[in-house]
Amino acid sequence: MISGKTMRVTAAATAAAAVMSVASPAFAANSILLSALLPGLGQAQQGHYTKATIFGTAAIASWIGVFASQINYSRSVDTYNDQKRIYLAYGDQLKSGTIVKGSDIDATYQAMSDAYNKADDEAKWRDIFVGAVVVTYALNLVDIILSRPDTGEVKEPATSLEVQHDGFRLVRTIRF
Amino acid sequence: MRTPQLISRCLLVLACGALLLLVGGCPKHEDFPTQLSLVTSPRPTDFSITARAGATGGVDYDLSWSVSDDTHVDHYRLYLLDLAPRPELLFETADASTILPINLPYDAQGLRFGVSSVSTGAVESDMATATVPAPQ
Repeated sequence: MISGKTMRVTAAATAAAAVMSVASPAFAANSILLSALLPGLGQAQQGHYTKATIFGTAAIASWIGVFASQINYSRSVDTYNDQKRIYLAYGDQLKSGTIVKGSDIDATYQAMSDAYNKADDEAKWRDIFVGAVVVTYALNLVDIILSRPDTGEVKEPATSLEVQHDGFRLVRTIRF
Repeated sequence: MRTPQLISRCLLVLACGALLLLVGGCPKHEDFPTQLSLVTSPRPTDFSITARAGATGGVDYDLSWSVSDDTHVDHYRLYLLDLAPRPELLFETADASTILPINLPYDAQGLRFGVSSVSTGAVESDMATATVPAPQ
């Protein structure tokens, strides 16, 4: 049979253990580890769900942007390399005396220029998304290193108002 | 140092390394190749065809055209159009003469011819076209 006092002691011990575990170095190291794997995971473990959502969404969106822009960039570079190969082959043909239509050379040059400019634009977008990934990770790591776990403890307000029978009293609490 | 801390620090270093690789290791396309230095010739203009009955049978055709600047013209090419998916090369002149008399054993009225110039750098210009008229 478990008495009421035993239950209270057990509950208090469990709560203390929980508070000690979330404040322990191993817990903090685990949070950093999780945040290094995916921004927001460490914050979620510490109970900061709003920050976890923000960091997680930013990281996923940035990674998707990096991969999408890299795919587009690779396609543009492939197109550019194909057109460049044809264009340089025209040069070899002309050197060997083979007659080549000027309109074909101009069209290939235009296609090559367009693909090059497109690759340049795609590279800029990719760099922007890479920057977003780096900034997200950096902010996430700084946040997880500096932040403390949310233990669910409700802090008393520093200033409170007490209503008395003949008026009210303003109390300012100072902790040392 | 305790194991969790060691693992977390190693992972931090790995994450930083991965980010550095991501920033510095992204492939960049090479520079734009040098543009070919082409010797071009102008497109022929005023391409006209006159037809007259030939003395030895068949039909004589006089093809003539002009170019704005024949400095870099090496020779001209004559094409027959519309009978094949691509223009069919009929004849290449030996020089930069802009008059070409030809004799055909039949009346070629309605056929379309094209003429282009070929530069000394082996670059061919766009074509000028003309339709064969009825013999006079």
